[in-house]
Amino acid sequence: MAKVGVFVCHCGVNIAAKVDVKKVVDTLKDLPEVGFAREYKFMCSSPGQELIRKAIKEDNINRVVVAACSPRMHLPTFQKSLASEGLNPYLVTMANIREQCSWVTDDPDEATRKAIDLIARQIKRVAHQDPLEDIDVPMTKTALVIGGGIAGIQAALDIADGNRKVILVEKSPSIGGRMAQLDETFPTLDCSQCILTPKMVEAAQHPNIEIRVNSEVEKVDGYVGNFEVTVGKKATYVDAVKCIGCGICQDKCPVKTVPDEFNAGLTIQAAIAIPFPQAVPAIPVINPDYCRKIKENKCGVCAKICPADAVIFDDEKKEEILKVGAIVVATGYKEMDPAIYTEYGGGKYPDVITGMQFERLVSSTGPTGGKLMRPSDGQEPKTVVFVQCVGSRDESKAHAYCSGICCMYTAKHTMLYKHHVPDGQAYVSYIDVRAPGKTYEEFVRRAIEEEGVRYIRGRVAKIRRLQNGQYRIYTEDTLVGRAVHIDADMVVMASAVEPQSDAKRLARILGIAYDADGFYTEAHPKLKPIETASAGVFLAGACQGPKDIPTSVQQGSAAGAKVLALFAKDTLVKSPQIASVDPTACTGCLTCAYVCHYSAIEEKEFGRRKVAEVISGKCQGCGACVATCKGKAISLAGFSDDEIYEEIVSCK
Amino acid sequence: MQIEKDPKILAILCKWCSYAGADLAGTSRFKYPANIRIVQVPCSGRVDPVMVFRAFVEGYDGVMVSGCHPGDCHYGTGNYHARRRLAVARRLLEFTGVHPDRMHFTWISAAEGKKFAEECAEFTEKLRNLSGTEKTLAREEIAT
Amino acid sequence: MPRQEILEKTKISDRLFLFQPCVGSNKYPGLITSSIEFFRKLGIELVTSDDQTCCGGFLTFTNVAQPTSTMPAVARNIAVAEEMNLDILTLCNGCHTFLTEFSHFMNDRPPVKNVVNTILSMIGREYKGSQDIYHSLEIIYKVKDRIKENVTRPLTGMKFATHYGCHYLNGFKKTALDDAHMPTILEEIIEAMGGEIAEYAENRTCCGTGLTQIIINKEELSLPHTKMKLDNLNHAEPDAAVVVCPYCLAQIDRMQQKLNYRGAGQYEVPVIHLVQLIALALGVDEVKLGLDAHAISFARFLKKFSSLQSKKEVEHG
Repeated sequence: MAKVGVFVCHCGVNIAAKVDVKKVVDTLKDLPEVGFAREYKFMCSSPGQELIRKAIKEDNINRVVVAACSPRMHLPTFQKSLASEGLNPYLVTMANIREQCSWVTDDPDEATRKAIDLIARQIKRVAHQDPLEDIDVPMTKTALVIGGGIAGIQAALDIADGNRKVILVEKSPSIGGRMAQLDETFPTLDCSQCILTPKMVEAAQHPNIEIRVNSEVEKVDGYVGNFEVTVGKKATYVDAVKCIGCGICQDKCPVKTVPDEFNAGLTIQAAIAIPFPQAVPAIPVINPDYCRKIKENKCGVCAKICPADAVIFDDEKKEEILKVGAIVVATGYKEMDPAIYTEYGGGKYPDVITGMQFERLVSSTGPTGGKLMRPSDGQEPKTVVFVQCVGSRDESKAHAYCSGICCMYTAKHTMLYKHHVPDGQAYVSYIDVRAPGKTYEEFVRRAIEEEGVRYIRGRVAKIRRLQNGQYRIYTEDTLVGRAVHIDADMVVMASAVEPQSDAKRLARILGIAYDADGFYTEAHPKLKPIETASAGVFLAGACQGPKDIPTSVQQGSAAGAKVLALFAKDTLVKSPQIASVDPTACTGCLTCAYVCHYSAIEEKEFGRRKVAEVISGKCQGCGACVATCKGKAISLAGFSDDEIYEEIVSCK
Repeated sequence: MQIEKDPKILAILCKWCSYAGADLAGTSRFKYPANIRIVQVPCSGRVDPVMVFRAFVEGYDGVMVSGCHPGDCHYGTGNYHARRRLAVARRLLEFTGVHPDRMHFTWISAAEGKKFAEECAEFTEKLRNLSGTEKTLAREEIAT
Repeated sequence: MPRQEILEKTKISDRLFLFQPCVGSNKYPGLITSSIEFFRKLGIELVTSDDQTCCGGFLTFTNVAQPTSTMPAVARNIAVAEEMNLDILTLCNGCHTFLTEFSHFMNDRPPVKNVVNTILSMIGREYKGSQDIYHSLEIIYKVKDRIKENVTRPLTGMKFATHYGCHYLNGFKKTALDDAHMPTILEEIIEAMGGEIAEYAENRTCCGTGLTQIIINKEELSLPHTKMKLDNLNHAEPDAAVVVCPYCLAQIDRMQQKLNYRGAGQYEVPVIHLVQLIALALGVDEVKLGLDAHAISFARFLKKFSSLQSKKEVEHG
């Protein structure tokens, strides 16, 4: 038998000025369900909460209605009061007589009438409310980080330092991502490899981190705290345990026509190769599309000369199922292929290159050993034009968005260029210069004021190759209103930042959303940039949107913090206000499963029939299934039909 | 008194957007007619057309259902299901003799306090103009 | 690279309506005879009609008169071909643009089409929009292999600078046969006949004719532009420049003469239309090419060409 304690708050004058609180209490105390009713000035205060506790202790009330502000303000406060006296916290409800009554009604009589009505409904509702227990979902406290770039490495390190196990899965043969391909980073001009390699090594040596390179996520089952992830490791034909990383196989391999992805396609490599000298792990991989032994059963030189006998030509793809509790997606970005910009040569002019290709040319580990030269004839370029926004801010041809990093890395490129070719002249064709970070603006000014870089505001209309091997850049200087052309030896295009080509495929596997541009969608653009709509799956780095290294590191750490917070509890505590199916009433039509946004309903066997079953870990409690069920076989705890109808029915 | 003649409105609001929008109307002190009773649901997708019909049976003059804007539903797609279901419900409502305008479906976000107050005032006015001329499903009428 | 979808949609019939270009017909009549002759060798008959007039597009486009007067003129020309159930072949970027654009305009707007047909009915004609309109580049590229098989006087040893002009590639950015900035179809056709390409930076620059040179004659705007293009073209040292439009042909050919007269340089690059070049390679009698009508002489070109031909004969002899 429900015995409701009713507490009507004055909230100072916020409620009391309009609502006749005394009259409210007098009217309500006579309702059959009410065991106790009183008013108080500030229910949320300590003494206010004490009143509730006292009433539970002394007046035997077993349900509570607090008529005050919005439940969005203080419901958790009052739930704690109940819990402290051993009363189930789901047996309190609030009547919103402030935001939805006293504050929005002019006439005091009307306000009082409305308040009485609102509280009466809550009394009827709470009388029909059943106690609910929080659900404990057991968790596997191991994290999966997908992507071994700087964001993924940071996330892995933070989680591992927090004493949890991490498995770091990386598609390519080495971790390091885009940052490993850079020469120097803005705004410090730090050598990228020098600051990255210590982190890569730390990740590789950390006792809590297991790195899986040459691996991809193929399937994800389960839910937060209990994911089952199928990871496929491709055949590399090299035994990672035996290999000593000497590299002699690479030197002796006769096939040297494999496009070198690490060097942005500028050069070629052998069929067996370590991706770059500082690779972690520094273990070569055979490309089966080019290897003569694998294709034609000829050669096999690498196996013969390998001092560690580490080459295994009968290697096969392997699959592994990992049990993890949380997933961090840090798959990064790729540079747009400028082939669609035929007005800039469409990638066919050898000396009209992309930002990443420039990075590789000035890198000491790059194809030219760090000597900046024109790919066409090896000459040092004396005039270089840097074109910003190729593919970005261009809705007509490519992407409407701004890629965020190009203004900064272009300024950096001009400086690197001047350091390599002190008597060279650099031009930058720009629309705006976006330098928002710490010391970023000063960095760009340095390029202009100290290195004599000429910034010309205008978009490049076209680039044509001249007879003498130079390139004519047709652009304009909008600040003086004149057409301009520059004859340059080399052109560097700041090509747009794009999601990886398999980003959408991975999103579907993980059950996360992506936006129109292919970047992964966060739970809330302002306040939840790390979580996704799928509980337990977090985002870090450029896969969520173009960003620079510091921000990627921040997001990596943020994701790490989210994972550690999740794992800090013994079990996953879930709100019990979720759906459940009465299998005896269910006909197994599974229309509920169709409308469930979280794929939280599955088919289950019930005797000889098939019925629906809610996976409690996945259900978020929206109730779409309940409204859909024609037979009312599924109900939502806390928002059942009974409870809602009690609120609706009393109408005065 | 005048209060008896004021149309009684049931407003079913989703917890994440519309209910918060109604709270914001309060915080901003935007006034609206006192005849409105708000019921919170986790998502507009929870709203069963039967609830709307039941409300009319219980004597409400109008029912307002509000959810998050398309694309913003906290639970992803709940508001789309609500829209579709209630579009069909409106046709059925008309069939039973209740004026279809007595059901009002809208999107109100957590930032739209003013809009909430305006929707309430406009709906009240619309119902006032309909009163007396249309049959409702009120128990008293059915009983006779 | 040609767009495969557009290439696939191109239909080759064994009879096509040759839409005679106005500037082409009166300044370079060799275009008409060259086309008829070489297409015949490929098994395609080109049909002309004395009922045809200037496409009328220029006047419609510039609102010289009411569209209700000028658009029927455009539609009438198309109707002439429709009455013969023939697809239309144009030799001019301008003709192609106006016929295509205005036929789309009429097809998409039934009220306009109705007004036009009301007027046409007064002269016993009707515009249906039933036939396809092709630029010569489209048809020629599609039968490129047939052309290659029929070459009797290969262009080997001759260097050609290409000029596509503006209206076809730029005006139909999504539906033209090739990309506007880096097209290759004209080069491929020339190479299929044995010719070599002389690349130059300004190859996609406008010839400079526009309206100014032809109608308004504001040469202070267009002449320096054409000169700039010619100077750049000369660097590549071509034996001839190849165009696909009589307007471009007139501009690049005659303005060289004008510049020479004014002592602004020594411009001697002969300019040939693609159809004339194909006719030459396919062994059509040189007289039929009408090269004497060109301002810049073909004497040197033909001398080099025939000496190369005789060398080949000697080698094969």
